[in-house]
Amino acid sequence: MKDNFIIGEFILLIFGFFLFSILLPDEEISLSERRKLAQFPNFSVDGMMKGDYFSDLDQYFSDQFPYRDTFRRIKAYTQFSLFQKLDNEGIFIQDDSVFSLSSTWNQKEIDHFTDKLTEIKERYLTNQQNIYYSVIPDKNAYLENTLYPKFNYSRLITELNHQLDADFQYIDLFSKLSLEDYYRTDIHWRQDKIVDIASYLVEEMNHHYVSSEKEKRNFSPFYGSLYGQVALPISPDTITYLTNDTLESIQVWNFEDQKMESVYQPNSSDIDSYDLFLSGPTPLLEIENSNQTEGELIIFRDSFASSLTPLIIESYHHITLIDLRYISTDLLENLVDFTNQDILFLYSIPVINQSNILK
Amino acid sequence: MVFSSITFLFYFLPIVLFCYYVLFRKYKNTVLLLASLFFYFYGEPKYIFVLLFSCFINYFCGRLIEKIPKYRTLILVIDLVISFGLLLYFKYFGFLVENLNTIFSLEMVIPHIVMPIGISFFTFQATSYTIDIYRGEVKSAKNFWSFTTYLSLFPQLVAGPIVRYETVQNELEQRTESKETFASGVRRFTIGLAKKVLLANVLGELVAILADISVSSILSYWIQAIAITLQLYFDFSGYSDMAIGLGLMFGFHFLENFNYPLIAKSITDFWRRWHISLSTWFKDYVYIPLGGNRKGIIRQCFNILIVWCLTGLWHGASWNFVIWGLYFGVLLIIEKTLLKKVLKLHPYLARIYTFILIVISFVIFHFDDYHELILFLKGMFGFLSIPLVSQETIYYLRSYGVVLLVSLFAISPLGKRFVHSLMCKPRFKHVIDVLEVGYYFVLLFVSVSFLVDEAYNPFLYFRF
Repeated sequence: MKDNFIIGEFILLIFGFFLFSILLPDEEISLSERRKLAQFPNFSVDGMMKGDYFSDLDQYFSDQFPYRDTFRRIKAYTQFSLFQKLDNEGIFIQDDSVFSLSSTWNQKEIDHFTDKLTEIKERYLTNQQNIYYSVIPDKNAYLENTLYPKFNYSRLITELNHQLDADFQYIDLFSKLSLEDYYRTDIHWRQDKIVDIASYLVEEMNHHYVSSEKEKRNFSPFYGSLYGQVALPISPDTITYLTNDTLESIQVWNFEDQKMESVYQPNSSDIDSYDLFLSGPTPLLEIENSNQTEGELIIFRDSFASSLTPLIIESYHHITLIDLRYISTDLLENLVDFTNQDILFLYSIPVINQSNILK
Repeated sequence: MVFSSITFLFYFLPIVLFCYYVLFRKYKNTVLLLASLFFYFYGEPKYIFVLLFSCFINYFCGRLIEKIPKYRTLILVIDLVISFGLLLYFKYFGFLVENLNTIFSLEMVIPHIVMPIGISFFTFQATSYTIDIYRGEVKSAKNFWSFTTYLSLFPQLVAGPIVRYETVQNELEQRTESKETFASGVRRFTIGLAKKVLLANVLGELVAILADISVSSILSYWIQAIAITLQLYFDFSGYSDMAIGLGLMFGFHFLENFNYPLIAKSITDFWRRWHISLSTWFKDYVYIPLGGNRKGIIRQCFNILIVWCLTGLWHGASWNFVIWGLYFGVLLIIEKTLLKKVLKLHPYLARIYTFILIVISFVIFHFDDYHELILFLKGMFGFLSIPLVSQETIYYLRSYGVVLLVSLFAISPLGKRFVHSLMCKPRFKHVIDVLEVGYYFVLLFVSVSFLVDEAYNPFLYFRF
C-alpha cells in the first residue's frame, strides 16, 4: 500500500508536469524576475552537433516550467524557514524592505575605477574644468541589523581619495541619506526623497540651485529589481516622481535612439518601471534647458543619476549624461565637446566595485 | 544531460518510463539502448562515436578472447591498448605534452582536447569486462546490442558506479520489474536528488562565497574545507543514489558505491566505503595482479603507492590529483605499519583523525593550482596574517549553520537507524508509514523547486 503511494506521487509529479508543460502556453517574459524567458529554440543540425541546441532546450524547459514562480517561492521559504538561511541567493528581507547582500571588496575593480576616472581626466578634461566625484552607498549601509556584512564605505572613500589626484573634489553623500530614501523593493533611491541631496550636490559644486514647486505624480505598482529575486510575498513600491511645466517642456536628446524624448516616460518599459526616468539605461543624453542661460554640467553616471538629474535640470542650461556601461570612453572624443563644463562622477558602490563594466 | 535537471526529470524520464513499461518484454532493452544513446548524445553529440567505438572494440575483443584462446593474451593487450589509448588521448595527452615541455624545455603546442563525458567510467567498465572474460570469470555477451546496452546504460553511464558485467549479466537478459523494486528505486532516487540539490549545491554556494569574501579568517578556511568535503560527498554519493534508484526502476540491481565514508575509523576504512566500485576495480585489476600483500611489506608498500598514484590520476590530468592519490597511499602505508592497533583502541579519536585527514585531502583535490593550494593550507593552519574569525565568517556560519549541521548529521546512519528502530515498534509503524509517503513527496517537491530556480548545479564527478 505504502509503495503504491510512493510510486503514485512520483509518477503523478513527473508525468503531471510533463503534460502541463506541453499543454500550457509559453510565457514571453517573467515580470517577477524582470527578464525575457527562453523560447523554443530553432532546430539546426549544426547547432545540435555543437550541443548549443540542447543547451537552449534545457534553458527553454527551465524557463517555461509550469508554475515557476510558485516553485521559486517554495524554494525561498525552504531557504529562510527550514534552512534558517539569512539570505536566499544573496537576497533578504529586513523591516519589510528587500536587500541584496553587499558585494565583497574588490581591489582590482576599485583600482580600475580610479584608473578610468584618471584616464578621462587626462584625455578629455581641461584645466578650467572643475571635477567632482561622489559615491552613492548601497542601502545596506543603513541597515540596523549588524549581522549582515556591509561594504566598507569609509575605506572606499579613503582609497579613492588616495588614488585620485587633488583635482578630484569629493562630495560626501553618506551622511545625507537614510534607509527611507531608497525603494523597499529596489536598489535605487527614491526621487521624492532626494530633493535635499540634489540641492546639496549642486551647491557643493559651487553652483546656484534653482528650487521650484513640483507636483508629485505616482506610478504604481513598481516591482523593483529585488522584488522578483526575493520570490516571497511583499507589497510592491510606488514610484513618486516630481514634475512641473518646465520639466514637462524640456526635451532630452537620446543619442542611442537618435530622437528627442521627454524627461519622464511612465510607460517606457514592461520590465523595469524605473526606466520612466530619462529613458532608462542609455549611453548618452543631452538635456537643454532654455529657461536657464548658464551652467553646464557633464555627469558620468550609472542608473542612480536618472532619477536625480530631473531635480537639477532647472539649475543648468545644459546637462550631458554619459553612461560608460553602454558607451566606450574612446567614442566620447567624437560625441562630446569638453570645454568649460563642470564634471561630476556620480557612481554607486556596486558599479565602482565592478567597474570593469565601464568601457 | 544530468539527472538533477528539469529536462531529465520532466521530459526524458517520463517518456522513457512510459515506453519501457508500455512495450512488450522483447523491446525493453531496445528502449533502454535508444534512451541511453540519446542521453549521451544530448550531452556530447560528437562523442557518441567514441562511446560506440569503445562498445564495438570491447565487444569484439571479448568475443575473440573466448573464441581464440590461443591468442587471448594478445587480444586482451590489443583491447587494453586501444581502450586506455583513447582515455590517454582524450584525458591525458594535453597534460603529457605540457609536462614534456616543462621537463625538456620543449615548445610543443599543447592540444586542447575536450574530454568525452564519462570516458573514465565507461573505459574502466569496458576493460573490466574483457579482463573478466580473459580470466574466465564471465562469458562474453552474445549480442553486440546487448553489450552496448550494458556499457551505455544511462543510469550509470557518465558518473558510475562502475558496474561489472557479472553484476548485471543475468538482469540484462532476464529481469523482473516489481512494484517493490520500483518503489525502492523512487525512494533511492529521491534521496539522491535531495542530497545533490538541497545539500551539495547549497554547500557548493558556500564554498564559492567563502572563496571570495573580503576578510578571510582561519575559521572561514576551515568552514570552506569542510564544505568542500561535504559537497563532494553529497554530490557524488547523491549521483550514485540516483543511478542505483534509476537502475531499480528498470529492474537492475547495481552494487553500492558509498557506505557512510565520512564516519570511517581510518583511512583504510574510508577507502572501503568511498567510491567502492573504483577502489574494487583498482584492487582487482592492479593491486592484486601486482602481487598485493603477498610479496613482503616493501613490495606491498610499492604496490600501494602505484595504485594510489593511478587512482589520483584517474580523477584528473593534474598534479594535485597525483599528490592527492599519493597522500592517501602514504597514509595507508603508515596505518598498515604503525597506526593500525592505536586506531582500534580509540575509535572516537580515530574518527576525528580520519575526518580531519579526509578534509585536508579534499582541499588538495579541490585546488588544481599549486599556489592556491599552498595559500589555502597556510590559511587553515594559521600561517597567514589573518584573524581567527571575521564578521563575514560569522555571517556565513550563521546563514549556512543549519545546512552544515544537517549535512554533518546526514553523513552518519543515525537518522536511518532511528527510523528503523521506530518502525520495529508496532504502535509507530503506521505513523511512520504515513510520514514516509509525505517525506518523499516533500523532498521531491522541494528539490524540484531548487532546480527550477537553480543558480548553481554542477556535477563535480562529470569531469572524470
